[in-house]
This record gives sequence, structure tokens and C-alpha cells, in this order.
Amino acid sequence: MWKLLRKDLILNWRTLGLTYCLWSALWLGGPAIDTSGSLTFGMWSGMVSVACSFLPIILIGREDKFKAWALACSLPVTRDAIVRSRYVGGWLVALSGVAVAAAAMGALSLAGVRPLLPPTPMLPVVVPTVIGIILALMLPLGLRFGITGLIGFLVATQLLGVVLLLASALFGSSAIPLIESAVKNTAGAVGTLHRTLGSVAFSVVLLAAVAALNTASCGLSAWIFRRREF
Amino acid sequence: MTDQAICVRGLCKRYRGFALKNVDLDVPRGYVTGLIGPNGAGKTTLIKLIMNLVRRDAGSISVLGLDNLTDEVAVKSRIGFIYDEPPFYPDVSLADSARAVGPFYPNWSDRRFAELAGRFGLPLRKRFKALSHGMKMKFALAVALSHDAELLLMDEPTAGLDLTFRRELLNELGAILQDERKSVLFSTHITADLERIADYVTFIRDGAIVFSLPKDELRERWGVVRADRTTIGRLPAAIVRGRRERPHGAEALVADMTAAREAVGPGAVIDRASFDEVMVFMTRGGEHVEAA
Repeated sequence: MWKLLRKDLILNWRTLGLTYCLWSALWLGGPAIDTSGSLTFGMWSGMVSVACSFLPIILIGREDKFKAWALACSLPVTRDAIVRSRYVGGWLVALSGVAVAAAAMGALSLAGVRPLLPPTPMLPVVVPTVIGIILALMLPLGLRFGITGLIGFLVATQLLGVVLLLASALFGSSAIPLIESAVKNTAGAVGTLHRTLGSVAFSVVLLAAVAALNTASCGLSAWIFRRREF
Repeated sequence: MTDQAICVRGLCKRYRGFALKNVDLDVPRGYVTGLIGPNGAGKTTLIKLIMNLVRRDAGSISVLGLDNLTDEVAVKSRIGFIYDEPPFYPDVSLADSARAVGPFYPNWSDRRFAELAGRFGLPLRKRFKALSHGMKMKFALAVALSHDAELLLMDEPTAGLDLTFRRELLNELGAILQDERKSVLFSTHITADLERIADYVTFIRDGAIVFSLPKDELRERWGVVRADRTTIGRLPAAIVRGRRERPHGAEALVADMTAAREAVGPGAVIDRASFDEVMVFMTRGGEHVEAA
């Protein structure tokens, strides 16, 4: 698997480097412009996590665009190893994005443009949880359908959001009681669990759940990818 | 050690509108086997099945004595695979592409790669997209040969190349193969490629192997008989591989010129069959009538 990660790094480092440059500019520019102080640390880390979760699209997108899946699949590696490397690579790319964003925030703070936002104790849990959930949902589609699958995933989630917003605006919150109650119940259950277990045990449980979700997603992706034809 | 580089038995693969049907194929070790057939005959599918790039529906494939699925990693580390469109990243330099791929192969040699790159005139600092199609194929060949592959699988390696480049590529390939006695299976629809480097010829049509023979046997024994329809009708069915009716007579492709001569006597013209003629006769399913 390390050889596959090394291969991806050699073949993609220019694009990744350029992306991280633009990424740092984005995270430097946004908070620098918004000096009202309304951006809380929770919002910032949530935005960064969600945004960084989509960075691994670069790897899958380039491989798909250049029809280079066949190159990886003709190398002496199993398809399962290719899938595992995609997950590990995806995590590395996303976490590097978080590191870049954090460095940008630190730089802004050092330059006195914006005071350093105090990190919350839940930061090491929130970031991997958000990244883990998005990668677990996204990668099986990417590995089966390539960039089309990823775009489909993005469009479908956007459309779902638009539909829910429209329904809510047109018919009031009663139009989507099931979803509303499901969200409220889940949030309530998570809150109860947090209070019951305490922060440390809750964090461990949450991270274990994310790891289990990713393992299951990786297994599904491997099953799918073994059947893919090039 | 098995004498077959590739041994395919009962291989089936079904797509909508096309099926590879119960294919049996032996590719002898140490020789060059040309896989020839019209477009859509199943050449690429067969090669992709050997590489496990597509899933087989039935049958078995043994490569260098190993099963291509259960021993996939071991098999692929001993194969050099060349696509008709090599799938390297276009914006990555040749040196970096080789650096990315090399470590996967236990027998990869940087020295060998540098030597081949020099011999082929490959500009290692240039990006892949900056190369002509011919140079791309040479790069793919250099990569395939740098890990000392025992078997080269090439899917239409000469397609899209001009005559000069094609000849140059085949000359390079021929010279290397002669030195090292590697086994090669290459698909093509260019008969001249077979003339130049193949030792064995396998003809595939509509997803089925029609024949698989040593090239010399094909060249020395197969012929085209030209005569009137009655004379052509006297040919034993067992040796007739194809028939063509013309406005003023008929032609038949035969697998045994001596037997054909005995059957038709002096009233017919019998010439050796060129690969082009074999292709034309066989492609049409053996029988066709030309309009007056």
C-alpha cells in the first residue's frame, strides 16, 4: 500500500501543491476579510472539515480523467490494496488540508489581523468525525463510478438540501416532520450519550464509530472495485 | 516449468451484443504470438481478461504456470503490459512516471530503464503529453522491459503509428526479443506486423479462436486456389477455410496446398496465401460472393 501512496504522491504532487496554495489563500483571505469576529471556532472547524473532506476528489478525479485506473490495476498489487490506499490517501489529503487551514489561521493571528480563536477540546474529535463520515459516503461512489459518481454525490446532496429548504419554506417545518424529528432525536441521543459518558469516553466512542464506518465503507468499496472492469 | 507462457481453457465473457465463447489458447514460452482478427473480434477483451482488468464469466487462465486470479500479484510482477493508449499521467514527466511505477516490480532496474530510454531516444524530462504516439509506445515498452518481464502482453502496440515508426518499434522489439527469448502475445489487425516478428499466429473472430498455428506452417502450407466453380467444388471440405465467388470463377483459401493440388489437378492456379488474403477470407466467415 505504501508503494501505491508513493505513486499517487509522485503523480499528483504538483496538483496537490497548487491546491494547497489556493487553499491557504482561501483560508487566509476569508477570515481576514471578515473581521467582525462573528466566525466562531466551532463554525471555522466545521467549515474546514467539510471542505477538506472533498479534497481527495483530486486523486480520484485525475485518475479518472486520465483513464489511469487501468495503470494501477495492471501493476502487481491487488485491487483491495488499491482501495485501502485510496482511503488512507484520502485521509492524508484531507488532514493535510486541515493542517494548511490551521496554519493560515495561525498566520493571521500572528500578523495581528485576527485574534487566534481558542481551540475547543472537541476539535480533535469533530474534524475526523466530519471527514470520516463524508469520506465513507463518498469513496464507494468514486471508486465505482469515478468522477461521475463523486459529482453525482455532490449534486444529490445539494439537491436534497434545496428540496428540504423549499419544502420547509413553502409548507413550514411541519412539511418535513419525519426528517426534523429524526435530526432532533439523533442530536438528542448524541447529547445524552455525551452527558452520560463524559467527554473523553464519548470522544473514544465517536471515533470508534467513525473508524467502524470507514472500515465498512472500505470493505464495500473493495467488493465494488473487484467487480469494476476497465 | 511449463512450456506455455499462457494457457487459456474454456474462457467465456459475455457483454451485451458480444461474447467471448469458450476460448482455448496456448501461447508457447519463448515465442512471439500474434493475435489477429478484425475490429471487435475480442482481441482486447482476451488480453484484458488475462490481465484481470475485466472479470471472466467462466474458464481458467494460467500465466507462466500460475493462476491469473489467485496468484494475481506474482503473475503481474512477471508481465510487461502495453496498451494501445498507454495510461500514464499526461502532465507527469517520463522520469517521474518510471519512478512511480518501478518500485512495484521486484526485478525493476533503473540502469536498464536508463539504457532503454537512451536507446529509444526518450526525453525523460519531458511530460508524457509532449510525446508523439510512437514515443509514448516506446516509453511503455521501456517500462515493460525494465523489470525483466518474462511475458509481454501488448494490445495493438502499432495501431496509429506511421509506417516508419511502426517498423522502428518492431525492429527494436524484435532485437530485444531475439536476445532475451521472452514470450510475447500481441494483438494487431496489421498483417505486416505478423510477417515481421510473429512466430505463431492466432486468429480470432466473433469471440472465438478460429485457428492458432506456427507462422511458417501458415506461410508454407496455406494457399489460395483460383479456378472455375466446378473445380473449386472438388476441393475436400476438410482443407477449405474460405471461399469467394467472383463473376468469372471462384477462389478458395486452403490449409494444405499439396492436397489442394492433388484434388484440382493442373486446371487451377494455386498461390501461397498472404496474411492479408487469410484475413480477408477468414474475416468474412469463410464464404462470400462478390457482385458482378
